[in-house]
Amino acid sequence: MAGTTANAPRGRRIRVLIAKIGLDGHDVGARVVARGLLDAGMEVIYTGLRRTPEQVVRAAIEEDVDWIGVSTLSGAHMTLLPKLRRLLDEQGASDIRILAGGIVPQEDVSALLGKGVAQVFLSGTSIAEIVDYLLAQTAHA
Amino acid sequence: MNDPKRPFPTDVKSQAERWREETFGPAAAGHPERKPFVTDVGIGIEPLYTPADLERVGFDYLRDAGFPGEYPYTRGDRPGMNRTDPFVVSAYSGFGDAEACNRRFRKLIEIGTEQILVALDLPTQCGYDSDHEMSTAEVGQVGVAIDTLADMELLFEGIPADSIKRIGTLGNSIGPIVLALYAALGEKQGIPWSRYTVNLQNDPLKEYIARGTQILPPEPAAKLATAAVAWCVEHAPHWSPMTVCVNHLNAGGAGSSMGTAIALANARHYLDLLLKEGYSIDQVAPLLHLFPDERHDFFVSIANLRALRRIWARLMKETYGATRPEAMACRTTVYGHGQEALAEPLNNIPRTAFGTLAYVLGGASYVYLAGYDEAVSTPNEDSARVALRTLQILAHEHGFTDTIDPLGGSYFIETLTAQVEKQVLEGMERIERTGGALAVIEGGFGRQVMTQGAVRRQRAIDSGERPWVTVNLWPQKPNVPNTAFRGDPKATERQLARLAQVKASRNRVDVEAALAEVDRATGAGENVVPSVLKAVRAYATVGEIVELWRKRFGSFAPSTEF
Amino acid sequence: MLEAMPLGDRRQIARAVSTVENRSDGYQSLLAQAYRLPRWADVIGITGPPGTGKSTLMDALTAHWAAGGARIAILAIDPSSPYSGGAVLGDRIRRTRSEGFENTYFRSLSSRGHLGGLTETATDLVAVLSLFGFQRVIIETVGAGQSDVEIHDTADCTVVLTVPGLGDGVQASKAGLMEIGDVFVVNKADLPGAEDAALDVERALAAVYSGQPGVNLRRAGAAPPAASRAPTAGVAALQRRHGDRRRDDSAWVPPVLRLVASENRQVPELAAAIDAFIAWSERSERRRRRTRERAYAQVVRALSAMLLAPYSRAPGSEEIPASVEPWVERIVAGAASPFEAAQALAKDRRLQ
Repeated sequence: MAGTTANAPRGRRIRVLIAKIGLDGHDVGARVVARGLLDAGMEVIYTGLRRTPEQVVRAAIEEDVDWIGVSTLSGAHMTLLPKLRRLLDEQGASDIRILAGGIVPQEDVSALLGKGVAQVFLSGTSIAEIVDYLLAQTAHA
Repeated sequence: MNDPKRPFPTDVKSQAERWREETFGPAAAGHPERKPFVTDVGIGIEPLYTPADLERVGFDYLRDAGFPGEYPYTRGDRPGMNRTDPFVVSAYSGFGDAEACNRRFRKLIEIGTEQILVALDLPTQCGYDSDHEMSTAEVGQVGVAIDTLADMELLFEGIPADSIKRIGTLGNSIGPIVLALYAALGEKQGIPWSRYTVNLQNDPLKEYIARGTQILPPEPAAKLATAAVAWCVEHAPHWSPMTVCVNHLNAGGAGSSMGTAIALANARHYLDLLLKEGYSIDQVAPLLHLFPDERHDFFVSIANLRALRRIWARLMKETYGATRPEAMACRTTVYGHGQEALAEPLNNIPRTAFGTLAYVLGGASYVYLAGYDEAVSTPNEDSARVALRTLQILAHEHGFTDTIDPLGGSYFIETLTAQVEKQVLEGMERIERTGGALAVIEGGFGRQVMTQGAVRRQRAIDSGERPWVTVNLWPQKPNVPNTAFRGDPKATERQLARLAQVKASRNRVDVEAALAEVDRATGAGENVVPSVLKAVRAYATVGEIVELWRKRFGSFAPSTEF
Repeated sequence: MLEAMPLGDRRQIARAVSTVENRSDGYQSLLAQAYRLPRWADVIGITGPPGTGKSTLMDALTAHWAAGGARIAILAIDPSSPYSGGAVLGDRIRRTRSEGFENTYFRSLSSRGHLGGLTETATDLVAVLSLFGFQRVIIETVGAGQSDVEIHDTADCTVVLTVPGLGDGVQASKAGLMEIGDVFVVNKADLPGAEDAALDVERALAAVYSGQPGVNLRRAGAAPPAASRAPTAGVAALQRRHGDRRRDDSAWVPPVLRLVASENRQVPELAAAIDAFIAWSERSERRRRRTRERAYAQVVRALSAMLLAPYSRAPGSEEIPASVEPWVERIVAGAASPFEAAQALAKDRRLQ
């Protein structure tokens, strides 16, 4: 079927849920990343602000996403991210992987990676690096 | 030949052109342009500025620059500026519970802080008490937890409200409540309101698109914010109950010119509400401060502050008919940043120092400076001290504050000021056409501007067009040091215990009656501050008061505009 | 006939939706099962220009029906980038009230890049959701462009939204939305200009419809019309959708409701109007006609997909398939026409 690549039937697109968990209201970084992913041909679903881990899990499952990118800037990550992982696993979604983006102290990074976060992208990481990671790491891409 | 009637030699223009083509041109040809010389706000920067540029922008000294403390206040909002009265060395600080925070405040005062703006944690900012389920994991993280007046008393124990020049907090969506807390604090300490000065940010409108701690829909939120201003007109006209912000708008992507335009639209919205209540512009305008921000381009920052003062003066005088100098002279608060990076945090010290220097040269009155680790976390004691010392050095060394508006008259700065002014005015016009401050929020225009700007900035960094040392020049891996400030985990426990204790020991009947009165006054459209003050004195919690408003006005529903 | 699957396994539902959306392995058998259901979910289309509060309205309606125990699914469609094919799907932000109900399911969908087109994909998703026992599927689109009109043609009830102050009160008409609306809504009716906006829509409708909003029975004893001008294509389409009181037993005149979705005001009234239209549609045989049309369209699509498969590009590929390549070369060299090519290929074609 003829048409531009964008209109052409595609295989499965990479789907990413971008989430803001907790009360932090800065989502500019999340929006910039979302645009970058959009430009790379991915589908991004944005949860909006002030979501609980339960709400994020439900969204991730309903939207059948490949990744959840959590924007974390307020330091609550050590509690909220492991909880997210646990809820996902409990609901049969162990294959949905979690990425953290924003501000995370060095020693917390290794702790998070040990608690089920696949990768941490510190503020200022180039969009290209994040896109490359997703393209390389998504099973069906 | 020189014409004695014209103030500028007309052949400067042709001479400048000649220099450009014949002297500079060949020299520059040998070097490829090392970057596009365009500022973050989109103004191109020339290799050289001359009197011909002043003529090009129609600069008239008396009309456009004038004198400090005189209309249009371009060169300074007060007659003496830094010469007689150096800027107020200020700190934004807060974390954990009141007990932990109190110790830090004392330290800051010891080393010379003249103003403390208390950083509140997210639950408090969003109107949730520390024991609310939405507060889990967030109590005391980005600021101190304040649930009741008891926390305020502890926070300022041993620190009389009048011991430093100003005390205050942000309280953007809880303006009347924080105002009441600071008023009640003075009462508890036995210090009358006339003897100390409170400073609040209390600017909910920018939250919706730039900061995210909004609670209610924009209209009632703006109305409640102006109640705090109105109360001060009557009871404490020397307080600063509202600081309208560019800071977060710029940081979020709007750029300093468009950010200023949006902030001015927000300021107009608040002023219009107050005028509708029957106050005069001369009464209310002096109580509003502005919070400009430009952290990418040093000279644009200076130009922005000067243009802002000029625009504000003309707006107050010509559109609103203000007559008092205090109403027309725009007082500014600034928070010094640069392009802070996550790698090699100590580099952020010179960055923030330079960013702050621009504000000092631009004539800001109240100056804060970001900690070198602030991109990462709440400042630790070391970075807080360095920030303070940097401010003191800026105030007293190098002669930065020896004369007023030192760059005024510079061909570059006056040209840039005119160009920035034009951008801001165009932005203001565009916002008017869109429908004003509320339309910017609800129609999605504000978010669009921010996202587009943020994306543009990211591209400029990724492409190298905007040089960033240790990021795209001599790149280093970002690293968030383990010395990042860590809150005391016991602080949350203490806070919860204290909250429970206050709730158990307060007079329930008084609290219920006071809350009912707040609800009634809100519903009747009266100024809520007196009733909130009564509630706060009875140890009602922040959450209990906010819940009344949430029930009445509903929570804000964000636009799906991305 | 299949029993509705338990709602409990949300993951299974989401997976099935993905399988069908992406035409992955197993999608055909899922759809085949769906076609054995006696009845599919009612499809409610909600459309209108941006800024009219569709998402909020959808959330309110969903909560309203879910509270009554019904299983409601939502498909929110957002435009994809024409350049990259990617999309940011933001309608979920408004899912507040309805999120509290276990018996609701929300899925975001991008508008481009679906095999067979958006309308067909949406129809297939309705089929799969019906398999899981959803009684209603609400489809929300941006309301600009041909694809929207197309989708809503297949809905069992289409709600068209507008708000006060959109300038031209009948901006909806510009996008062809006037022809597809079964119920019209002026949202944010607490704003100034709401009545004017509603009157604008009512006036536009009055130019085409006669009667009271809602169901209008044919007046007993009324004579059928004398032979007159044949209706225009547009009016004929409307009559097929809403009936002609002079000829049919009853006709539908789209009502214009005023409501404030964010405060849940008049939302029950909207729900009632939608219920009334669907009930009328069923009694008047329109639903049956639509179901038959749908089946026919699906057969044609399945047949074309099958017949064209040997000549179609692989997803994501930009190469012209080897089966057609030689003919393309000849056409480009001026040695053949596309019609000759088609005839030759049809002759050579091997059926599955």
